[in-house]
This record gives sequence, structure tokens and C-alpha cells, in this order.
Amino acid sequence: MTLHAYLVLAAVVFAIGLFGVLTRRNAVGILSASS
Amino acid sequence: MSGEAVAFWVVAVVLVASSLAVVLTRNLFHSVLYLAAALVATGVVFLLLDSPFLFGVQLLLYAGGVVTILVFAIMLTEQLVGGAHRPDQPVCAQRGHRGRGGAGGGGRLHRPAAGAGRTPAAGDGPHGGDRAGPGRAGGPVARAARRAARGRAPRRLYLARSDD
Repeated sequence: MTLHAYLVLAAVVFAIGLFGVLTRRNAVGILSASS
Repeated sequence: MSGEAVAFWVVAVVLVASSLAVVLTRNLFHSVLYLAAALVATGVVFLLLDSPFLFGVQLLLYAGGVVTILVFAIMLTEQLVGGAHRPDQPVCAQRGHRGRGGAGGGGRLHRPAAGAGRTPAAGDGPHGGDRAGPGRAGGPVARAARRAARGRAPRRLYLARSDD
């Protein structure tokens, strides 16, 4: 696999985590989404 | 397609699915379990990138430490919220989803709220009688207070209350 696929995967996971941080209302949920 | 590519795509699908489950699950305890799966999948990604030391560090620190800390945080806050106090509106808004908190949480919160609504009718009588002794022969208000206390007891043991 090239490095490009890993970078795209990392970007997708980062976007999911950012979405979780912005949409969660619970503090523990925000912490778990940010990790 | 080589073996590494197959492994990468399998790990990528698992990682993205478990990350979406972390974000989209309403139950906090299930969210932390999916987070553990996502962290292990991230460690496997490190393993595919020929860095086994980072795999070990990821497993030890994240999947071992952070998940444990989050589970303890959920347990302690659930005890704090569900145990002593009457569940009122800000707790319900904090815990669950706002749209379903009115419908799904309303039936659950209805019984202690009804007991608390009946309590001021007799003033502070049931509290003194309940504190003085066993007080089995109480009025209907004392029975309602005991029923509310019995209804509160298993909620204290429950780790992460499911919203659905």
C-alpha cells in the first residue's frame, strides 16, 4: 500500500473525531471522541 | 491484490466503522467499547506501517489506560447523577438526546417525579419518620418515598443507562 492510502485513512478518522467533538453534548463523550 | 493491501482495507473498514460507532452511539459505555476497538485498529495500522513499537505503545497507553480512565469516569458520574438526587430536567438534558429525552426518558423519570410531587403534601413528615426507624407502618406518602427509594437503588448500580 502506498502512503497515500494511509494518509487518506488518517484524514477520514480525524474528520470523524472532529464531527464527534462538535456534535456531542456530554463531556465524557467529547473526551472519548477526541481520543 | 497483495496481502498487505487486503490487511489494510480490512483494518481501514474496521477503523472507520468503529470510529463512526463511537461518535454516533448514544450509550456512553458502548461508545467507550467501540473506542477500544478503534484504538486497537489504529495499532494494527501502526503494525502495517512497520512500526511494532508504536503498536505496543498504542495498546498499552490508549487501549489500556485511556479506556480504563473513561470507564471509571462513566461509573463515577453515573453514581453521582443517578444516586442521590432527584433526576430533574438538566440531568436528563445532559445525559440523553434532546429529541428522545422527552419521549424515552419521560416514562423513566415519571415515577420519581410523581413521588417527589406527592412529598410536599405532608411536608417534612416522611423524612423524619424514615430517618427515625424502619417505619413500616407509614402513610401513603412514606410508602411513596420508600417506593422511590427502591426505584432509585438499581439505577445507582447501572453503569451507563441506555437511551433506547
